[in-house]
Amino acid sequence: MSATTGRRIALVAAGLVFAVPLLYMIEVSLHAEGHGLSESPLALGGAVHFENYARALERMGDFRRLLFNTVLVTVLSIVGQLACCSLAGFAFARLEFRGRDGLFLLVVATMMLPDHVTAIPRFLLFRWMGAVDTYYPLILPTVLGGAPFFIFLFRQYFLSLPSELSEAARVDGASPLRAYWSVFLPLARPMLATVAIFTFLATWNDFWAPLIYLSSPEKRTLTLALAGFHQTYNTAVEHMMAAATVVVAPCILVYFFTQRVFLRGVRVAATKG
Amino acid sequence: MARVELTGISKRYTGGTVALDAVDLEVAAGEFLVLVGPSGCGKSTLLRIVAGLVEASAGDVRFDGESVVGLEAGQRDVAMVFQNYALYPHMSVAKNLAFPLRLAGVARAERRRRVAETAELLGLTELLKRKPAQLSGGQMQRVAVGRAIVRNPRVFLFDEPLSNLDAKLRGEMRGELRALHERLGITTLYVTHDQAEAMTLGSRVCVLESGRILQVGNPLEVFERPAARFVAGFIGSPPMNLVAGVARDGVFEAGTLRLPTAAPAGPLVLGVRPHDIEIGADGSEAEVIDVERLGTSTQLVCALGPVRLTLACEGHVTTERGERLRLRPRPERLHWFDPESGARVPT
Ligand SMILES: Nc1ncnc2c1ncn2[C@@H]1O[C@H](COP(=O)(O)OP(=O)(O)OP(=O)(O)O)[C@@H](O)[C@H]1O
Ligand SMILES: [Mg+2]
Repeated sequence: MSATTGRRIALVAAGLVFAVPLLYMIEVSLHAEGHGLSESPLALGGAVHFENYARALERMGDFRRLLFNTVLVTVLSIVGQLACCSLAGFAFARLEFRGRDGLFLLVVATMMLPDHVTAIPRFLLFRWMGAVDTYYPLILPTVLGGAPFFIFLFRQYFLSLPSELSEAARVDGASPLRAYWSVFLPLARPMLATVAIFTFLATWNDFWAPLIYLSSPEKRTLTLALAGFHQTYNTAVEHMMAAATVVVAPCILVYFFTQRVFLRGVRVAATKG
Repeated sequence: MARVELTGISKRYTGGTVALDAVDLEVAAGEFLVLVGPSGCGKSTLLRIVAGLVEASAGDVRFDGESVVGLEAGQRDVAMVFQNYALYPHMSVAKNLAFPLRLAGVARAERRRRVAETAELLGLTELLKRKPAQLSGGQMQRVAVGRAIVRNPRVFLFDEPLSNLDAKLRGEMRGELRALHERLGITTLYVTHDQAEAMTLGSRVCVLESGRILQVGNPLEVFERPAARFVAGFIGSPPMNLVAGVARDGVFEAGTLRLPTAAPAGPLVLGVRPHDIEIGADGSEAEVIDVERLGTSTQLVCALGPVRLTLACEGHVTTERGERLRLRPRPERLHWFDPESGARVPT
């Protein structure tokens, strides 16, 4: 057995570890109600019940509303994340101001804090602001640079561009903000794409923050509805799997179509981190 | 176009490097001044201080008598061409040229007209739609120059603009830059470490070493009467022979070399250009240890005891390695320097 064959087998095995649960989820979602876990796989015969999907969406509550909420939070987070992290990264890379390096060190140091440590102070802060049960706690932390890692990524990226570029822009009469907007941001397109995808996946799949902050049913996001589903209809496994499939489908699609960007991001993170 | 005056300019970088030490320099309006010196002597720093990209630790920069120290780079109305061109990679050539105009708020029609005019002047018209990555080094250089001239600045700053080009292209661009300056007449500071550019481009040359100005003058003057040993060795190709020896009773001695000198007795450095040494019957005896045939001239490296002298002969010479010659530096073409200070010893 050659080394490449061995590697292929290992890759396929590792792939299966991740793919099987996903495929199983889809498989179960297509069985007749009450038979998802007991019957033999559909591939060996049996009726396919697509209507489970319609029932699942119906049971989740106002699906359009949930989708809208989730898209709203996700889009605002992405836009905020891109604007804030690229701007901060630009400042750390290309502007000279007192205390810059110390400040940057501080930002990087916050990467060491696990989310769960800051969760309670953060919650208290938002409660004090009267922002509990609004979307602010879900969006603001990303907009205000809640992802030091992305700031770090942007800084490294801007540092890798020749410094003469910003000097040329300055001599040409560009203010720092203008240089950022007209020269650096367009050049950061690969970074922007990477960060957008990471943020999309993180926000779309986020369960923790919506769980902590959102209580009104009409403000819920898809992940919350999915969890609620579990509590309300704990017997209808087929419908739950159908709902889960619908919720994760965008992530899988996004990942599928942006694999290259995604992998490049992982690689950048690996080589510069 | 503006008259540029630098007075008492010093620059100490954080970390302690003194890049410039009390530099005084005046560039007349419309003049082309070349700043030349070895790597790390502070040329780029000086240029960046004029541009407003780096703040001087001390001293004043004036354009037409008015201090510009408080002005941001963009408000000084200077244009700069960088060694690596620094074109905006995501913009087409046309957009690169138009960028400074857009920032200056020039109206669209006027912008178009001036970009077209500049492109025409530099032969870039065919390339306007391309991105920098689709250009050759020479073309990128031209675009960088175009972006500098398009808004008709008061001062042009060039930081080793030709050093990334091959020798032939460099020669061509030298000619073009000279013609361009003649046509536009904009005050120009041009940094290079290439002494051929220093000799041929500017109306004056300023030689810098370790953050200090050693000499300012027109190229021939600097070539004929170098004010310091460093200048003597730096300007001219092949470089001047510099021989350490001793003056005694009006005679300079080094190895088997004996030359009359008017310099006072004591340690002394002789400077003589390779072209100023003749082969003659009455010279000092020397052995040829290396021959370099360059086609139009031949360089002989000769040993006079421990002393090495390079001489350049016109055309093709049949001399071979190991031959013995008599060398006679032309007495009216000798330069004398103080070995301690490096200053020229007047004779
Ligand atoms: N940003 C900086 N921080 C600290 N030291 C610097 C900085 N820029 C330049 N220097 C130092 O200042 C000195 C002069 O640098 P400068 O770039 O002006 O030299 P140069 O004459 O342009 O050299 P070259 O021909 O290599 O471009 C060098 O010793 C350099 O290391
Ligand atoms: Mg330099």
